[in-house]
Amino acid sequence: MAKKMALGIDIGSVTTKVVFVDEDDEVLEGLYLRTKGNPIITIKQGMVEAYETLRKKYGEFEVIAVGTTGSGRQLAGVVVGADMIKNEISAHAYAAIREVPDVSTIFEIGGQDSKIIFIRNGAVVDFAMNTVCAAGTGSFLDHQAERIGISIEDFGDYALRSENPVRIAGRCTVFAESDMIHKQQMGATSEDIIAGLSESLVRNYLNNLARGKELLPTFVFQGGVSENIGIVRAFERAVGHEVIVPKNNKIMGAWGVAMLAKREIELTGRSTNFKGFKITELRHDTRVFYCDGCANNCEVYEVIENGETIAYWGDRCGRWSNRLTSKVNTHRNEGYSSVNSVIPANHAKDDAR
Amino acid sequence: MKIGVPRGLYFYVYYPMWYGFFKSLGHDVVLSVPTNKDILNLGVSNAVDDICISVKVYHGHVKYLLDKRNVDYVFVPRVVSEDKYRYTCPKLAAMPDLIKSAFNKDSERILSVNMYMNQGKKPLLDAFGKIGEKLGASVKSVKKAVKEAMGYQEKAVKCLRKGHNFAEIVKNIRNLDKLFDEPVKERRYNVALAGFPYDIYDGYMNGDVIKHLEEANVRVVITDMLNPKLYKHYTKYMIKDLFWHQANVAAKGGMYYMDSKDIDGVITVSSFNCGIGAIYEKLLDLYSKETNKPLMHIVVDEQTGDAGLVTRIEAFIDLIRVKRGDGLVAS
Repeated sequence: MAKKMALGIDIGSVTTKVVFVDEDDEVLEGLYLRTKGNPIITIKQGMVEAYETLRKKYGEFEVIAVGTTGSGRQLAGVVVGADMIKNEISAHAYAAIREVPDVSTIFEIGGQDSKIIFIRNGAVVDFAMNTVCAAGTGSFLDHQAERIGISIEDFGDYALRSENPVRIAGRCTVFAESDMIHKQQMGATSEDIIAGLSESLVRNYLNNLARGKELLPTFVFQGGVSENIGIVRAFERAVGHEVIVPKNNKIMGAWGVAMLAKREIELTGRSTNFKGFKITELRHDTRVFYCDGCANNCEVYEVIENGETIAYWGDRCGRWSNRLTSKVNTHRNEGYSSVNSVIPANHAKDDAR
Repeated sequence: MKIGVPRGLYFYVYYPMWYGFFKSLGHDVVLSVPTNKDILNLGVSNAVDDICISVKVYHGHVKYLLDKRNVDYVFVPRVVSEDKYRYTCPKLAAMPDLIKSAFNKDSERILSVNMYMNQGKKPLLDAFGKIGEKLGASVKSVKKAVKEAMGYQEKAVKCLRKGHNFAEIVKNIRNLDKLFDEPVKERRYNVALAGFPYDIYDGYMNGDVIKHLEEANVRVVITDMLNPKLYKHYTKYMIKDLFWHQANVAAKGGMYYMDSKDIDGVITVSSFNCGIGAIYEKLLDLYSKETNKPLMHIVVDEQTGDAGLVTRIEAFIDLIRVKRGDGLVAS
């Protein structure tokens, strides 16, 4: 019998995560890819890659549920045919609770945003996301590593070698950068600067997001930045307690939404909306236009599959997004979304984009 | 005559009164359109730099009306106080001056007067008397108009107390009695919004928070619906009342909702550089620790993408769903 799997996709601002889980929610395949400005191509690339690995390992398999999350969840959802489109806070929390059942505080730092999630008795009770400022996220570390001339993968080891981390202003990355340049010119070593940077990132994160809230163990740290051992240690020093980095730390959101989509299918008894791996061979285009219906001039996004529009969003009044209600059905009102499968009758030839 | 009323700031509190007054004197009330991209741009380009987005947007609404040739006057009142010793934000109290300086050329068309609210009939008669004089109305007709104005406001307050929100009141201004008789829709969840009416009701600026919540089967209650008597005793948690009336409504009303069993969570809506906003948010932060009621802050600024906002609202709804035992997936 073909192995049954659920697929989870997390489209972040910088990276895209593709995860396949088995019936016991264990991760069979987890990919962590750079989005490089084109989420659709990245999803397809991830799906093709995962398909080949999974075929080799397990032979025939069947996808029984699909979930999408992250800032690009809507787009990913219509392209692949998702059963559940879930916000990243709930998806991350769900996976963390599965992995570390007694978790109380989740630190999550990704490419361009960061969140803190407070859990009590296995349920989210509070959360915060960075608001106007993207200081102290993965992109900033990437940029600074490049400036110092080391690879981001080595960043953590450099920080650990430091004996005297220098103090760097963490309020704002623009100031942090000028502070850093100044300290370099004063003669601080790269190790001490990187360690100082890690501490300032953590300080900034806690000041912005925790804002006087009670930080209770058990602590879990996930998201791309949790790969960085220097930041993990800085968090441990700041909270005075061990901080757990779970085994699927980089793909928690995708893993969480895969499990949630599976639950959704199990509970509702519906069959999946997944359009199948053939979507990797379809042509998808996106278009943005300004609606001229009223003075709002909404930026409307259109997703086109093989020449046929499959989704609109961005309009405030629903003038465009309601057009496709017969085909694309978004159940916002239940706190989850599902999208019916829309496969054009005639597939155009593979268009290797 | 045509009197323009900008859809911003105290419009979201006293519009029924203003409408009743001008209507009774036989003038047409012309509202600016709900905030849109053009209004926002007009506001941002005409207002001083370091001011909250709500005041900037108000500039946009005034400009919109001034640009309409057939609007004779634009009504920009100076609401000085809303109770004895309970004043308004200095920027709001300076509104007519800010507007006249921003739109110097049109300052003749700005209709302004100092208003002292909720302190009896006398200050209202004085204020509306001055406007009536400028519009050439007789003392007698002004008296009658003030009476009607107060009647409209009373009806609107009755609708609010029953649970109809101010957006419905604006829509049904001609028929508030009918609105009052309409039942308030019950929904699965109840979420309270705490903040200033002009931040809460401007859907364009706050990413349609009310609409998003209602679509998720949430009944939205708002601090302006509460009778102030209900939350009077919360002053003791703040040592003393704040000087700004609306901040008291947001802080103490928010606390009242946090103590209400049927409320699943509280969301504050404030504009990014609002000074008093930072204070009532913190007061509610502290109080939420005592009550364990989910609390979230939405801070509005000059942004167009509301993706982050939708994520927060969805996550907040998930949180209250789980709290109610409904789970994250369909049940």
